[in-house]
Amino acid sequence: MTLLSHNTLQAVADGLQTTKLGEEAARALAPHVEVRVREIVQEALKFARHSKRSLLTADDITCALKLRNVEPVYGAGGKDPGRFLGVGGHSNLFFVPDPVLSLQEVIEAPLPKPPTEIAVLQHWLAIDGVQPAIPENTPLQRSAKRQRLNPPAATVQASFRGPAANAAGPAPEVAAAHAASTDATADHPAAAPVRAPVKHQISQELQVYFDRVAALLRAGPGPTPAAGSDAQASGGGAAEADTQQGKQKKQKLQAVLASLASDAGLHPVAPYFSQLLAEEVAGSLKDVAKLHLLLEAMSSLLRNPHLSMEPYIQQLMPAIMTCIVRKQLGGAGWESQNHWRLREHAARVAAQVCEQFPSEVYGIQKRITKTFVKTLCDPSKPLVTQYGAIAGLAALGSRVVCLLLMPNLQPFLSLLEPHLPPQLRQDPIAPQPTKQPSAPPSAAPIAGSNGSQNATSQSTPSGNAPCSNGTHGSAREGAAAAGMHPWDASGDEPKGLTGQARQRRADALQCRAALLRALGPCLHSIACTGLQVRPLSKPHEGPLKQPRMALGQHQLRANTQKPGAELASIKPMDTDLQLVTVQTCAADDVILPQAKGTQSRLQRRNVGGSNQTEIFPTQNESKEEQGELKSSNTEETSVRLGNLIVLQPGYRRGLPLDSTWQYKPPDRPEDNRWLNRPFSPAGIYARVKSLCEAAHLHALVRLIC
Amino acid sequence: MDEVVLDRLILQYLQKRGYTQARQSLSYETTASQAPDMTLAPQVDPEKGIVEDLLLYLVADNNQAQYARSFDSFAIWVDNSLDLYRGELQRLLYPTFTLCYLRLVRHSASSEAQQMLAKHRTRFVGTTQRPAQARLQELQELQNLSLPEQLDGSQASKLFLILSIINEHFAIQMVEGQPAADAGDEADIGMLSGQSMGIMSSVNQQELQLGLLQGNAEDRFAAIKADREAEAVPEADEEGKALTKKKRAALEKEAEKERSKRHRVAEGRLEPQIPLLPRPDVLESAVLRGFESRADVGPEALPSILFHTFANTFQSLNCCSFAPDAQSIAGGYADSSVRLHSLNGATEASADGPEAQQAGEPFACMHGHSAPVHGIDWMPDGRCFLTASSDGTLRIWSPELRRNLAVYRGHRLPVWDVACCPEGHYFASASNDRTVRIWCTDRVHSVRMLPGAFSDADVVRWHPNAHYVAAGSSDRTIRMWDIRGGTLQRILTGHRAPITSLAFSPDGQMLLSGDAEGELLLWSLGQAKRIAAFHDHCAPIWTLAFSNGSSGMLASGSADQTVKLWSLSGQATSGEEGEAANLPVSNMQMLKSYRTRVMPIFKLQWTPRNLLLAAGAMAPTELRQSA
Repeated sequence: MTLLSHNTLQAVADGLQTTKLGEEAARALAPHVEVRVREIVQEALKFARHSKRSLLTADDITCALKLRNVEPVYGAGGKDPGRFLGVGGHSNLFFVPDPVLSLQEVIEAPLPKPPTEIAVLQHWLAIDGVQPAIPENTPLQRSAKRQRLNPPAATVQASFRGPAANAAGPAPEVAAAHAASTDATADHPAAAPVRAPVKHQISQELQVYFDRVAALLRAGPGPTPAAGSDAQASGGGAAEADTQQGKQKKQKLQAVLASLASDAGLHPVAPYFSQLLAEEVAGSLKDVAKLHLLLEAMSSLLRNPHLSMEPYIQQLMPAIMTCIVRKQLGGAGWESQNHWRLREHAARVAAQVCEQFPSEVYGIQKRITKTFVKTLCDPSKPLVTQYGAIAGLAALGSRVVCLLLMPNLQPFLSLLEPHLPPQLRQDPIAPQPTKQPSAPPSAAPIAGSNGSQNATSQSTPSGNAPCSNGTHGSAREGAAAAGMHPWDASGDEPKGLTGQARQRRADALQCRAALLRALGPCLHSIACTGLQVRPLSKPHEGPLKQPRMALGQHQLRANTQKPGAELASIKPMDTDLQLVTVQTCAADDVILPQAKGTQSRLQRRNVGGSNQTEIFPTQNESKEEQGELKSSNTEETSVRLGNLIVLQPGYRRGLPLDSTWQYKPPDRPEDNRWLNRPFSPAGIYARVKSLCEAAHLHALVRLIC
Repeated sequence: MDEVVLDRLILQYLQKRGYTQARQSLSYETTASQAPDMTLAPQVDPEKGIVEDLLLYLVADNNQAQYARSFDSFAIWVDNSLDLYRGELQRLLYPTFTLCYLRLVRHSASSEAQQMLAKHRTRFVGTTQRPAQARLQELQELQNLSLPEQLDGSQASKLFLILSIINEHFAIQMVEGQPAADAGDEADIGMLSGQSMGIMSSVNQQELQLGLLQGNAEDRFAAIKADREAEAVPEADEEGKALTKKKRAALEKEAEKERSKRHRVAEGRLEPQIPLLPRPDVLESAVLRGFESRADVGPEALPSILFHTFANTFQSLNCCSFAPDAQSIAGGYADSSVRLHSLNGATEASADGPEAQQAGEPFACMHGHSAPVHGIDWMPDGRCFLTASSDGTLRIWSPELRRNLAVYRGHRLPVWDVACCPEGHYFASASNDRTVRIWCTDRVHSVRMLPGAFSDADVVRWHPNAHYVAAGSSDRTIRMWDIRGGTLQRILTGHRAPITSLAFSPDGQMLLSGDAEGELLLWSLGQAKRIAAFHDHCAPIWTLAFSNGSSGMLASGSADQTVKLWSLSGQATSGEEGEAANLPVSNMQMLKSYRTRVMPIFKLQWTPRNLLLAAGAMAPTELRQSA
């Protein structure tokens, strides 16, 4: 009932060093004190209301106390609320810290900044009843732009609540503004010198906004983290200040990007922004970090629901494409820098453009995919450019990959293979690795099962032919079993290479990784048709008709009817990185190839005495692997697990290529028969064959098997 | 009173208290006269207090429980009554309950009281969202009272619990005919206002003279306009010489009609009965020019809103007001300063006269008050403005000289609001000392003191004819006084929270009030009845403003950071045609709502041209988050 307990009262009395207040007295006093306190608070609330505030401040209490001729509580004013600290050892005893200040310090402290003078700013909240879309006004609803793109069937918002009612209102104005800004683009002599210059007025606020944002974008994100760490090593205080500055700058940049992505009323400056970004990209090709920032700014502008960047796409697209396919990105020693990420980033922005302007600027996607494909098949182009092309295609989604990347796989692989390390060369007459571990005997049936489809591998006797797919895989398994990285087996070889060749080999590996990543979703859909999915908890009751991939909940298993059959497992690792490994091996000899040579410990058990074998890693082991995969370069991992089919649908967060992707069972009945088939490379092969033409299928199988 | 009964009571009392000796001696004295069985006569004796206490004591502990029990049975009786009457009876429950509770607390039975509250809480809080809020608060307030000393304790208690409570506190009128439909939420409005119904109804039956003043600006403008048209008509006649007799007759008839109409209008006007200053010609012409360029606003032609944001105030802006010519804005601050900002370069600046250009520097900070400034208003001529402050003074300032001209003392406690008379010269103030005062600019003491509110007078406004002022109070009532005699003319109850804003309609027939919970009520002054209620705002409504002319637009601005536009049409007809018996039909509806970015709306004002000016201070982030 009461807020004040007698204990509180006693504590206060003790604090005031009055004579001892007995408990009974405190009990009697408490309700009276509470009534007074409430009266004062009520009075203070009146002061708050008449100051048009909804929050009670210490000043209001002071005023209320003064009104009752009570001496106010000193030291409680000001804007910052009192901070109560707990007393150690007591759960509900608090105090306000009251440190002793040195007078000297207080006097010598620098004067605080004078407060900014109060100013009155004017803006139109409504013009003839319509709220204009200017930054001063609250942004309209998020859906405004969507509604503009696809006019809704009925937007009858009968209520007048909130800005929703105005959502439809400013559309004509926005359109008018766009018309104005297209005129403005005509201002630039480069764009259209024919048109007479149209005077384009920008409000002073917008001008200032643009100047500030432009200055920040021009300055870039500043020194790279590496430089920061150098500074830290050199000196303590300065480095700290540096990092703090960097932090502030980072915050500022984030604020700028958020503003670009959400503020209404930016359309008058949109042409200037697009010009600035295009110019800056051209001017700062040696600064990867800045390019990232510029791309992020472009993406923010594109995301802005109150802004249509349609007229400026033609200006931005070249800049984006430059960031994808240009040979040299970054300053001196650019080869060693992570320009790969920049290319992928740019590819994502390009995909964003394609997604956003499907009809309005028809042909953007066509044009850029054409560029990519051309680049991919051009032997004169450097590998980094081709990497960009792959990334660009991959970012556009699995459909584009299936349609455009797969058919061109073979010519590209023929370009790529000479640069790959010999183990990964699929050429049957490639030289053997120097150290050839003895192939396990179990490799034979696999090779057999594979070979039935593959003429080349069939011709070579299994176990002795390292070039055949199956044995090649088992060779590396052997290496893994010996605790070595598969490539370490032939690790000496790269030393013999010249620097340039080594660089090219690294590039080629990156390309291959990108390729695998791009093909992942496609392969996944292919591969899954041959597998059976069922929930872990349920006993197996025959194959499910509709395998749906929900990786977090299901484990994918093959029905192993006979020893030596194929096993497949999906390990839900985490949401970021979902790794699907499908392995062909004997039931008796289950070894999963490992990252960095860690030995995998697999639990094996028979389920219910049936003839099925479940294979899955123990819990801690999977964690271990997960950690390792995270820490190591993910691209590399996928390559290393190369003799498996490594399918990574959720490869990295934010990668658009599979955000919408999901497995759908094929409609045609002749495809459905693959649903119940046990998975095998042969199955894949046949499945893929039904999907693709023989020529590039061959290349695909060469790549993945 | 019957001696025997009294003796017996005293005997029992003594026995209870264990004063055995005294009891014995008393019984010895009284044994001689044996009384018949005691019957509790309701008409006990003049020394009610003692006897009552005695009686109450006698029934002792079970008596206190009896309050709760009898309330329970009363509630059951109400619940089981005929459906027809239940709605009306249920309205009695809550007031009865509160009084029972207070009675119990008074007799030191707080635990029983709390039990009773816990038992019936859901009944009172449960129903709908809105009244629940207010109820909840009230119940909590009740809950805090646990000691009899906390009550004022002046009310007498009677033995017949519920009946006595009802007899004492309710004015139940028996009405023939159909029971009223269950009014739902509004059932208990007006109850528990603390004002006796009898007084209220007698106050509210007084006649009002709500007509506009004779020769007010609107009429003058209409007259000038009519004259101009009249001049134009003969010309047209000359041009079209071939006017038939019929047509001419029709024209004359029309003119006659017009004249009679004007005459009738003039009849409805009020002759000024308070001394008013003559209007200077310059001002007159400026006002008329403003009328001429006035845009008609309405549901089809929504107005433009120009928003003025006070930046960098750090929550120190308490109030602000635009000059009548919209050339400058004055603000009152928590640091006791008054700042004047020139709005030169504003949209209307060039149109309205040369004074603006002379204004010089765009900003002036003036000091004079010694405590936060809470109210500010401009004189209609725009030559000075008044401020009200927590230090209990009012000050008048000259924007031209940029200094304080005079100080008006009289209120002892903080002055919350000040309003200038639409005809100039007078102004009214509302204060924490529960009074409203009327002042003249040329006298340092108030000319009228208007008490009556049970709590602070929070906001005060003048009627357009300058003969009445209305004040909204923290006791949730609105009172209207005639300033000629200082008599209370209206008490309007119905709000559930302190009044935060008031506005008279331009024709003087209606009053609009907003409260601290965002409820907007429209009142007909003639009938002293509520016409409509709206609850579209969700935070205190700080400001209300009617548009100029007969367009019937009004704007409300609230702490929920929205400006809402409303249309109010058709009310003029019912007023003019004298259908006083019928309530005007409420066709007020919200047209549109505009959300600002982070600014609560402090002030809304229409310019003479019907541009809506709005002002607000930027609210800091942490406050927004907490809100």
